[in-house]
Amino acid sequence: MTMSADQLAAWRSKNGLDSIAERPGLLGRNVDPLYTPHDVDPAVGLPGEYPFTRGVYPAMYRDRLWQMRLYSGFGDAESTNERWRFLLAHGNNGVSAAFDLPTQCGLDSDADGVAPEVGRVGVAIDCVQDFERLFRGLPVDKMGISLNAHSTAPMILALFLVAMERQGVRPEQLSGSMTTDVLKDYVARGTWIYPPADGIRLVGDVVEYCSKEMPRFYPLVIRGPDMRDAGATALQEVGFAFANAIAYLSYFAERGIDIDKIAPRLSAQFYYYGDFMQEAAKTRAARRLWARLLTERFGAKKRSSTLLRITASVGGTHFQASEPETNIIRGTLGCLGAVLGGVQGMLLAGYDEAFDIPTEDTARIALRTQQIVGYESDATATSDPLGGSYFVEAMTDEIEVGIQQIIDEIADQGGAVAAIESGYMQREVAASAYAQELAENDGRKPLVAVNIFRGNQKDRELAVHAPDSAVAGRQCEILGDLRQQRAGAEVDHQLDLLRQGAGRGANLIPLLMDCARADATLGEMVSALRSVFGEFVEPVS
Amino acid sequence: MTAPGQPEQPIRILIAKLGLDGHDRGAKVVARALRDAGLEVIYTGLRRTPREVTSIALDEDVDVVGLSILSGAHLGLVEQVIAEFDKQGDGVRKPIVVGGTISTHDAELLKQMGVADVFQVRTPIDELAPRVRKVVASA
Repeated sequence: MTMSADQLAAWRSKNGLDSIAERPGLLGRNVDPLYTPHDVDPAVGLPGEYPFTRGVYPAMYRDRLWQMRLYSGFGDAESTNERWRFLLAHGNNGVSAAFDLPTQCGLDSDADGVAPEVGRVGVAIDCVQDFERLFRGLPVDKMGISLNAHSTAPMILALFLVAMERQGVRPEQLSGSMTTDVLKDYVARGTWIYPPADGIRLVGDVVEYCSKEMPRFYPLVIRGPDMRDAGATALQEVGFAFANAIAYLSYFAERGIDIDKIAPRLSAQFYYYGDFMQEAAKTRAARRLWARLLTERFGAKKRSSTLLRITASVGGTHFQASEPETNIIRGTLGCLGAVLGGVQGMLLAGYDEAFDIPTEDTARIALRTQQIVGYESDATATSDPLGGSYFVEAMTDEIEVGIQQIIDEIADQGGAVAAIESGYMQREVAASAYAQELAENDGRKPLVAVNIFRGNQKDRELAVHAPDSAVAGRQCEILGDLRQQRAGAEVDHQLDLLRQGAGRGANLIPLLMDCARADATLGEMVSALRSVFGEFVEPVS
Repeated sequence: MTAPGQPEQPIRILIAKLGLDGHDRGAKVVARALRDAGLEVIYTGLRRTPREVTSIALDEDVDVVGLSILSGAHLGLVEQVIAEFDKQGDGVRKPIVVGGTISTHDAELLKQMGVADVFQVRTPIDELAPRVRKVVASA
């Protein structure tokens, strides 16, 4: 490059590059129509080396592809088990459990008024027996198991481990992950239960327990996609997720948990829209920022503590109801962004996401999308194929700065918990959602077949998921039998011990497992702790 | 009808998140769009029961109730709200509109149940207020 900055400016002006209509990017400001060596720092480093801008492994996907694990679950244990077998037979790597809303909110299937939601958006889990039926006949010690439990993560973990125990499988044999990130639920998604401080304490219990007993398990996934789905920008998504992570890490430090014992098993999850070059840049920026955060702020010494494994979530709010098949292409672009960004896991939504949870057919296509990008395209042929791209390197740098600004804004608010309790994060996300809605409504954000090229065809109605309305009845029957057959006095005794443990600050996982062994239900454990912790009060405006 | 010369009272709408579904993006966007269009909006926050929504609607004497449901449980939940109005309403039943991930098939079923209008995914934002006004005018 021999052209000086001045010469380049003149060349740009002569060619009209500075007067082209604006096109906002993930940063919210104009994407430059041309990036050049003047925009980038050539010292981007190597994959597998700190600060991991170019990926977490030297040979990346030539070494191993990402874990393709579709988020899946509906109805009862049997119907979910059947769907999992279908997905495993088609090449899904392990399973990723979707729980129904009563399970996520800590209510049993026979709780007052929850019947219409039992088994609706995920599988209904009330007791150990449900987990035994859910995993019946599956090679649990040989496959990755992701449990997408949030506020109820500690109870779900206890029920799951006791179910495994009854099948002779020990905690250390299990690999997989659990969401556990409760803070994002106060910002978006809303399956909160206890006040944030108690939520963080429970996260600490899970992380501490798993660091000792489950070395192959990732006990906390710092999540952004829920906030992005609620309207957050890509920068807010990562910035708020990392601000939440800082709250957890600070709490772990206060509790005396060694950062190098737990950080290697932390991971993150982000969302991928169709702006796949910028989403890839976001991924690279997030990894670099995390590596520096863990080293500089939290004093991590081990290389593995600073390396952030990222799971991609593709498809959700940005999948459209109009001409739903076109979402397969949106999913492919998102998938490509995730792969070019170098993720370690991916879940991709069905193209019917705007209507319902996936059918067998739409789930299969979501899996096939990943497999085709993985096995048929050369996006996986070389580590960080976008490395050195003027555009992507410049965006990586700028996005990193943007994320850091958001983290600093949260720190100014007093940290993540304060910013949640005041409703700050929620308001920021809602404001972004509204701005996005207006941009899509007036066409500033073009969406094919939605706000441009709409055509005159009437949308063909999709064959969507057919819910099983009898699930609630069947779960109530199982619960009725369970409550009759178990030793009630032992349940009460164990729930008492749980409440006492909560009061004195004990790690609650072993106590929850004792409750589960006595066949206490999820709802009973959650209620017992509610009597100690109280409940979150949502700041509504 | 407002008499000529009298200032028109803004329409009061209750926007409610029903059931356990915590996806409130749509509810908040709709609330803001309706406020911007001059309606008076009361937002309930998350996880309201059919009983609570009905009693808030009656206490606040709103003109219309907007239910936001993205969990797929809309048929069961709306049925419960209608039953609650029959129980609590003393003959008063507020017009109900529903928004969320609702198929055209289910939208028809909801209308047969007595729902005044259904806002499916991607309803243009500037259609919201006129359609709500129309529902109130024909109530």
